Amino acid sequence: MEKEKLLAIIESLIFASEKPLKTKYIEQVMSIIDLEGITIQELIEQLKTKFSYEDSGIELVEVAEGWQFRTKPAFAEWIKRLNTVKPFKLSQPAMETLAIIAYRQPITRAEIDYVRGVDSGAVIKTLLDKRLIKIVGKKELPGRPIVYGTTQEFLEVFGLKDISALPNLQDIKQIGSADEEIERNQTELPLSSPESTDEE
Amino acid sequence: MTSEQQDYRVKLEIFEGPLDLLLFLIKRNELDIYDIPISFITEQYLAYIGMMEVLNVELASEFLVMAATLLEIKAKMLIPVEIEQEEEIEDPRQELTNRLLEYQRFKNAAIQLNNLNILYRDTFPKGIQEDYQVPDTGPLNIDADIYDLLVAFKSVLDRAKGEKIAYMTVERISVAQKISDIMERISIAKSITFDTLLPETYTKMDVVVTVLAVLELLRLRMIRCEQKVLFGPIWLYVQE
Repeated sequence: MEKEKLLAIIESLIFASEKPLKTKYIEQVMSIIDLEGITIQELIEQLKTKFSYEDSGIELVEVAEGWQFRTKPAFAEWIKRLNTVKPFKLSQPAMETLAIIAYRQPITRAEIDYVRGVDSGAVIKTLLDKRLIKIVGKKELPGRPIVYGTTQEFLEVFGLKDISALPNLQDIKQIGSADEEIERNQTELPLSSPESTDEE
Repeated sequence: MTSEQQDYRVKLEIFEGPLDLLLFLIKRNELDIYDIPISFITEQYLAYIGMMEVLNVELASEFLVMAATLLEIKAKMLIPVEIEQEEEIEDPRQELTNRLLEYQRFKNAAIQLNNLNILYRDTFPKGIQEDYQVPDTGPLNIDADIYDLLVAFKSVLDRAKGEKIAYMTVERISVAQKISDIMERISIAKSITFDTLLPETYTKMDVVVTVLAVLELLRLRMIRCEQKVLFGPIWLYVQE
């Protein structure tokens, strides 16, 4: 089969799917075709490139371990003019709390409160309601406190392939006049050591 | 304040907490986070807390805990350290510095998350419902935050300082009155700057009442606040 046709089939499959379509399902659907040595993954990448170059309003993105067509960010203001979807908005405290949970999961409420220096109950509830976080279990500590983690929806909303695709915390440079010091000291502040915040 | 106003309390959830306030003060005064002048920062911190109390802003208890912590560190710094001791003595500021750095990292992480292409903000999947209504508003600017308001408040207060003493009867204006004044003006003009809300000559009382009114309107989401350039004028808009 011609490659253009293979690409068109994949395009139609992803278009028809409401949720991000996993590569394995595309592979299953197309398993009856002899691909002559090309992998589905390679074909998807080609399709992605095709949409990124063309004068197209949509692009193919890998989110939550699947593939989805989405509008290009350059046209967001135009879509908002349709005024039919409530634009996504999170308050600053909610965004910070979400960041802490995303990078430190699984994490308890007490650990979140310690990092933020303030009670996080209300913000956590907002994030739970928006289904960006969920209860992922209990920690082996006195009282067996609940621990939180991010959801599939979180990956979809932030356009992340999986949790490892989060922007690297160490790439951050900013704090008033102390930029260099932050970089120098980064090794002393490990990314995932919830134990260090257990004092409270 | 008149007795009826004394019961007036503003509840704000925009306050992020004591760490946020400290980072703000460090950044604003260009201090070195690894060598925080504890005396200076404590003074500044207490001044801001005091200002919020003047405004009757309900403070989370954590703000007061932090005030106590700062004073404790300040006290520890004053105790002379015996040089003979072999083991290294931890800087009393160490834990605070660590917490501030940690918090700053996540603040930055939040900014990075916010810069991603977010679904239903920057990018959309197919499936938009059919009842289209094309609005006539332009793109939105970045909202000013509570600290921008506080800084604006402080600068007008400073300006009010040099006032000459003269005795006269001042017409007291209540927060409720001010709110309706602002709403009346803003509904005609659509947008006004914070500065123009004050009369040509004003007292501390005028400033307090004005700030309270603006905070209350913000809380009720009746207006929106924007600051287009750092330290520039704060614009108030009718919330559409």
